[in-house]
Amino acid sequence: MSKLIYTLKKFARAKLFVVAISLSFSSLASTQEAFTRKEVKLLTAPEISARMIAQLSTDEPVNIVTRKGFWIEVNAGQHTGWLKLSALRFQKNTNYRGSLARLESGRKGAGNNVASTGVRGLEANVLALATPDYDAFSKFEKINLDVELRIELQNIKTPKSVADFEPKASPKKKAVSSKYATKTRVLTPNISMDIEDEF
Amino acid sequence: MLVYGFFLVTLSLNANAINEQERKVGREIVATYLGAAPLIDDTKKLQYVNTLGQHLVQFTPQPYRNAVWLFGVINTKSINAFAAPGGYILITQGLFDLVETEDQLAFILAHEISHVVKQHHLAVIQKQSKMKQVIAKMQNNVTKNNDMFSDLSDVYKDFAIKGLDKTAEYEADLDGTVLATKAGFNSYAGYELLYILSDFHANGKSSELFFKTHPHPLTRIDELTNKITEALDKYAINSKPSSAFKRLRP
Repeated sequence: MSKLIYTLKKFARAKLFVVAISLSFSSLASTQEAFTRKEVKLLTAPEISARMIAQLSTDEPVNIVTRKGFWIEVNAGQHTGWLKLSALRFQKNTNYRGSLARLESGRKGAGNNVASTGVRGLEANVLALATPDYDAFSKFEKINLDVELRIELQNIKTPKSVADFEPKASPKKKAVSSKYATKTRVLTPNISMDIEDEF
Repeated sequence: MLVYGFFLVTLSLNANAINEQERKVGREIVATYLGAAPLIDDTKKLQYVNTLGQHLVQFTPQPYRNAVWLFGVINTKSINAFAAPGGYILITQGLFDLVETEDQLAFILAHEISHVVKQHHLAVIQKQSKMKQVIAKMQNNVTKNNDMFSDLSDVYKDFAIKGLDKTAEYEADLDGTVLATKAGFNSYAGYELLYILSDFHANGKSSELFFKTHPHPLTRIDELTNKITEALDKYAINSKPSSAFKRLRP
């Protein structure tokens, strides 16, 4: 009898552990909140020609239901409808780094690798210990072009005329250039000597 | 010794093209990435990604348009993509599997191309104490060529381990969007991909290196929305997928 009670207790503990793990992941996957960036029409379907359900005002909170391409289905008050992804400002995950740490410590505690199918995960610790594989690089250099595909891409992808984005020059960036330029002038004589010596 | 020449070019920040010295350093870095995760054993997929990348490069400014670029896929389920000096771009099998459309894949490659074109790695070099040590060794002539390559590998590993500056990521998102749109892809595929990445993270799926080295995907969406012009709205349509994409992602 006491053995049965022990077994039941052990089972109960294991079940509690599974529930705890499940709760942990469900909190990570909780409903995403967002706010409207501007006045926007809530539509009945994910297409620009769809009928308007309601007009949402700026900064109106919505809950995201699902996504279809660039369109997002949201709950907004009593209405459910579709709007463009770009119409939303997102509620930031305030514990973004913390959630990463939790994932990492959980995996370390379990003694598992990132991938469990025989393919190693490329994470910081793997990369830090990696040594160059020059044979693999030679293989990389030998990847050919698919000539037929190249022609197909040129035929099916219609180029668009779009202006480049010109970022505002930041004072910090200018300082970087200036510092490098100074270093170069200082370093040039020594480096030039090295080049002449060895080649 | 050509590496020393590389410094003359990169430190001056006057390099506007991919040159042989930069490629030599890039090769060293990529060889290290490949030491961590080899190329996938799928010639068709490698050729497809390389050809898609070459298509995008045709819409970069000169002299990058005529430079030699290489694109590949590495065999890991982690999601990530890497750009190395010299025009070498790698994406992981995990990220390849995550995309829903060819337009999203094009955005990833365009984002990485933009890192190379904008020479974002140079800003990281400047901040690294390791790089100062390498320079000090150079000045004192106390290092051999092999040691130099090894030191450089350590420096460039930091690109992958620590990531680039946040502003560099935001800029590459925007430039990548513009580049992919120019090349005929959905102008908002970047939005879609970033939302997928957000969902990927929110569901507890692991790829710590990527999320540690990049701003939150939703923050990236916000940054992109703040800067993108409405002129791109009219190109927010998925392009016709190539036969190769349909074959590889049925």
